[in-house]
Amino acid sequence: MLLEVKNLNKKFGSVTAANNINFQMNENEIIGVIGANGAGKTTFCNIITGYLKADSGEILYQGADITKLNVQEIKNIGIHRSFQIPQVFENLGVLENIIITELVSKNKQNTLFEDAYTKQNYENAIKLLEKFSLDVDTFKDKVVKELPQGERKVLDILIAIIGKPKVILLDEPTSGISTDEKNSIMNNILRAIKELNISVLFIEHDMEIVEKFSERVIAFYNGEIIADDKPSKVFNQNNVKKFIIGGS
Amino acid sequence: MRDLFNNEKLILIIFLFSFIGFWFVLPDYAINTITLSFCNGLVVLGLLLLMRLGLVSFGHGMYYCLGGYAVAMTYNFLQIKEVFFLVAFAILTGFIVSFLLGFFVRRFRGIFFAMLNLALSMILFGIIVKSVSLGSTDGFGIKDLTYLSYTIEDQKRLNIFSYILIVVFTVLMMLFVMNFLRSPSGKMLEAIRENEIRSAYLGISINKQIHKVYIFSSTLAALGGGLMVILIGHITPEDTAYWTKSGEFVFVAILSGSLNVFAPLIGSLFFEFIRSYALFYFPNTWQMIIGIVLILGILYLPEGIGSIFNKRKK
Repeated sequence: MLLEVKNLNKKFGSVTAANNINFQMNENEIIGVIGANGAGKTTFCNIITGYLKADSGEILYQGADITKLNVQEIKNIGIHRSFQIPQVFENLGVLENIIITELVSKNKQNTLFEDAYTKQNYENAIKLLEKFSLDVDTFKDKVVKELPQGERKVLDILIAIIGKPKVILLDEPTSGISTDEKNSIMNNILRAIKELNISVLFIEHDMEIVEKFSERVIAFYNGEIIADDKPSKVFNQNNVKKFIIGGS
Repeated sequence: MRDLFNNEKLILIIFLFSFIGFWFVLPDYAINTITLSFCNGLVVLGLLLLMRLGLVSFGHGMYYCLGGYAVAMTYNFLQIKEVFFLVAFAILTGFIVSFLLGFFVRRFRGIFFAMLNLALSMILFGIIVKSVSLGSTDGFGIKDLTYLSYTIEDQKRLNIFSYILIVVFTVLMMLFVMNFLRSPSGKMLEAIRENEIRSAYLGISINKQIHKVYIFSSTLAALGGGLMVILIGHITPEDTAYWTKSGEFVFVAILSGSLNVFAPLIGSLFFEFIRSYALFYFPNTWQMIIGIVLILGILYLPEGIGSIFNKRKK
């Protein structure tokens, strides 16, 4: 078992965002997370990554209790994430975004006596763009704020993958991306992730994408997991049809 | 021309030798203004580091004051006259105080960070003003100094030794800051300024990085204060820790911008000369001239004086 969540609870005032959640994730699994807006998906993601603290419950990673760890500590043990609204360094170049991320992943955040933006580091950043099948010429000389939303999203995911995590949580990886591009982008992302043996938990509203790319689906409703199975089975469950597919 | 300016180390060497050479050609009042500008410029260099983090301190006069008082009190109470020891005391004082206060201020951002530093500075001002043993409003003076055992009399305070000492210390600090900003550690500042959430999720220890930069920045300010006392021979709380002095540093920092390490020094020189001439020609309205200069700077050089020399790569 790679990741296990036991009896997780979280309330915001009178709103229950997580209600006795139990969940397990195995190595190299790709799990889709579905649910209407406000169902508790992002809260679940935020609790696992240490951004929010649970009111009660336990999170175990490779058997160790990580419930009380902070964001940096959770990142350092190998759980990374991307965001619904891309969190990138807007006023820096695309390559500089990648270089800074690589420097942190190599634990060089306190290194003083070397240059950060070396030719070698730029070459490594370009190789990473190529690995994601991204058009290097389009990306390499751009400042992030000049990129369209979809490309920022891809950069956000790419940054999250640097440092070879064991688990990656993708929060709506295809939102803001045109329907035509969604499939190819997901293909590129998941191919790169698979090569690195990373387990994926991705929150998604597009049911076609979830059905096509996930091996397992968990469905949230009112802070509870109401279904957890293979995509075909989950999508056929009545409560999923009623509360999520029909209502989303 | 821009490519030439991209070679910062070469420019720094030219900068060093040019200013050493100025000693032999410029009149005393100009040399005095340059030297004082460099002392103040070190504080602005410290503010540049904070600006790279997206923070501004309205209270860096506190460290300028602490550095100055460290020199003056060590001289008066411990009878130490060796300049290098005095400078070391100024640096050490800035380091220790900022290390301790850093645990408190590093949790704040934006205007709260700026105002908190201002409040701390005013507390120090209040303590000094009300304490006779700390010199109260009169402050402290120093007299003869020794440079590696060579004594310079009080009357020759601005001499080639003090001038070269201040120019060399300033250039050394510029070199430190330049290397720091180019290093992986320096790039963390840009990351934190751009996006604190992503920086945290990358694993950057935000508070530790802010603390580290705060110490670096404050120590530079303390060094500036210490060198200022060696140059002028006197320190009062009103000229250092009072909020108007901190405001002046912020003014110069905005005027200079944070594009490169030359900007704070050029900005500080520019400010001191403008102020000198404005005071001379418009003794009753010199503040208006300073205000107009800032408005023009914001309108035509929004990234500061440093943007004349190079543009940040985009």
